[in-house]
Amino acid sequence: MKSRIFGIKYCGGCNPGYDRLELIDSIKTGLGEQIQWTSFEDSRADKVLIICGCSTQCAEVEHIPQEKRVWIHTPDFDRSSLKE
Amino acid sequence: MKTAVQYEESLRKLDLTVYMFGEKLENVVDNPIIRPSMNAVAKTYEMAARPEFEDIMTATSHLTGKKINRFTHIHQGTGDLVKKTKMGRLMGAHTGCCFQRCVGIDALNALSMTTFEIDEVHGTEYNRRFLEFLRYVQDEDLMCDGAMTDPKGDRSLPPHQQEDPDMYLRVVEEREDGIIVRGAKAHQTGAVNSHEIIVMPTIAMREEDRDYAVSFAVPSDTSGITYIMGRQSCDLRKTEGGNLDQGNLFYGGHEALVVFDNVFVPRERIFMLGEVAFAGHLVERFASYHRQSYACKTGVGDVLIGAAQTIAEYNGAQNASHIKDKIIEMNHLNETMFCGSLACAAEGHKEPSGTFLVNTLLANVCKQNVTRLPYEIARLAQDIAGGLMVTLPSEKDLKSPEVGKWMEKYFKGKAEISTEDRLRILRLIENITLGTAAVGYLTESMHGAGSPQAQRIMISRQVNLKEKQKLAKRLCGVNPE
Ligand SMILES: Cc1cc2nc3c(=O)[nH]c(=O)nc-3n(C[C@H](O)[C@H](O)[C@H](O)COP(=O)(O)OP(=O)(O)OC[C@H]3O[C@@H](n4cnc5c(N)ncnc54)[C@H](O)[C@@H]3O)c2cc1C
Repeated sequence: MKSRIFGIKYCGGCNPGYDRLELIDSIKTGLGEQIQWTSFEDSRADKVLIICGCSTQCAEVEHIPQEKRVWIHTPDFDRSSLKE
Repeated sequence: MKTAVQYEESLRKLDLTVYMFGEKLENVVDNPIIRPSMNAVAKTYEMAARPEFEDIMTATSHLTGKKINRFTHIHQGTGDLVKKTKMGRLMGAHTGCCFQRCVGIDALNALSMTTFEIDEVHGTEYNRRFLEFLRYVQDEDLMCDGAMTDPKGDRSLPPHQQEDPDMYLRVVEEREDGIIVRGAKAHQTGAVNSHEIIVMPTIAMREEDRDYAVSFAVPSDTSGITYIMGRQSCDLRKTEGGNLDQGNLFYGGHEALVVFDNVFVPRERIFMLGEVAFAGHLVERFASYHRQSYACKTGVGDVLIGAAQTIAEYNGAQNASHIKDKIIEMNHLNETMFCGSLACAAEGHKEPSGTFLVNTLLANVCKQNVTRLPYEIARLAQDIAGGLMVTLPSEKDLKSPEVGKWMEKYFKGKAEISTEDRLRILRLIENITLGTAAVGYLTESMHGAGSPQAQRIMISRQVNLKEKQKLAKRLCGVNPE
């Protein structure tokens, strides 16, 4: 049974410091079946992962409610926060 | 927004008159020499539809509130200008060549300002016409050619004094319902991949040049327009059937001479007609935006740096200190170009029409760097690559049952890397530094958006030398008066 819904929003990726799609794949694998994935525009999302290629974190997020935003700009972020 | 497939289909519906190698082309889209350039433009459609790029590749129309391809957007803030810079790098990196669509967005933005300002002075209705055209471009997600450069004949003479009056595009007849124009536009990037041709004057003009002060947009297959394709170094490799010698297997650019032989332009599509004082205004604004656009070369530079590092590794030379230092230098030069483009965007401002314009001094500094740094980056890439990038036999020899084995044996680098992979990277470096893509990476960097001297004139006009002198004099006790 999937318990939570996560949206994904990317920055535009002009000069990323790592492979953003690879990171998302590894996050999906790590979280397994418990998460249903959707677009950042889907209002059902509990959290929206904002995947930015560098620390500028220039993704436009005004349509994403503040409390849902999870900013990620490096593959070395603390993954335990996603399980909360 | 159009998908890449819809874009290609829309091109098939155009009835263009295109000549290449002395022959009229029946099928432009599938021509093997032109097709890589179509692929590069199609990439601007494809990437706008992908979630991992849309934040840069799309925008919200200030006219309709709809999501549009950023290549059709009018900048509504410095954030938009910064995203345009990033879009140039992104597209350059993903195509490794000139993707041809920046000249259209720059023409649209320049016209959004100049039409507004002509109307303010002359009470004309160019801005309304322009906005209607813009809405059509945005709704249909069209690719526009920005056609500024005239053939220019004798460079020391203004348009009206040329021996052949058609050396600058001009109005030859004015009618109730529109105008007839004659002339040509040279070096037109992406011309036969375009739905619309946006014509602008190429220099500031005087009263005697009134007939030449004309700007308009027409569908690319308008009767009377003929395209003569420019050829590029190594272009015929695309017809040889292999997939190694062309270096870049997917993408390329193109330019064409576009001839207007008594072409009718309906009044609704005219954006300037005889307002000579505004010709220079339009040229300067277009040039400033276009000088910002050269962030694309940073993206192509990303590819070239990646290729240089890869060949160093394939050759087993990557740990040599001078190779490492050359890679650092390439990155330094590449990011220097990016800095200029980002800076002129971040320092942009709002013009009376509401459109945001780049900082024009910094845009000129950016482009002046671009006239030089890609040449140095290319030189370093060739240094690292070794001579084989220009002495390498053909793919057919590699596949030959008689001599292929010798190529496999003697062109091997590190043991664990296949000879073919090593040769592919060398061909890519050749492609960017002296093959088809060098047209965009080098000579376009030199002359596109104006030759180096054009930027130096703009820089000299815009720096405040008196203020700099005052600063110097104050510090050393010289009387400022
Ligand atoms: C690959 C490529 C793509 C391009 N794409 C486009 C495009 O899409 N749309 C478009 O409109 N244009 C395009 N251009 C044209 C570009 O803007 C022109 O090449 C540029 O403005 C220089 O013009 P020119 O080529 O006629 O060279 P010239 O103007 O002949 O310049 C050659 C040299 O002569 C000097 N010179 C010229 N005139 C004078 C003068 N009066 N006094 C002193 N010195 C002078 C120049 O400074 C330069 O050093 C493209 C060019 C290239 C190379």
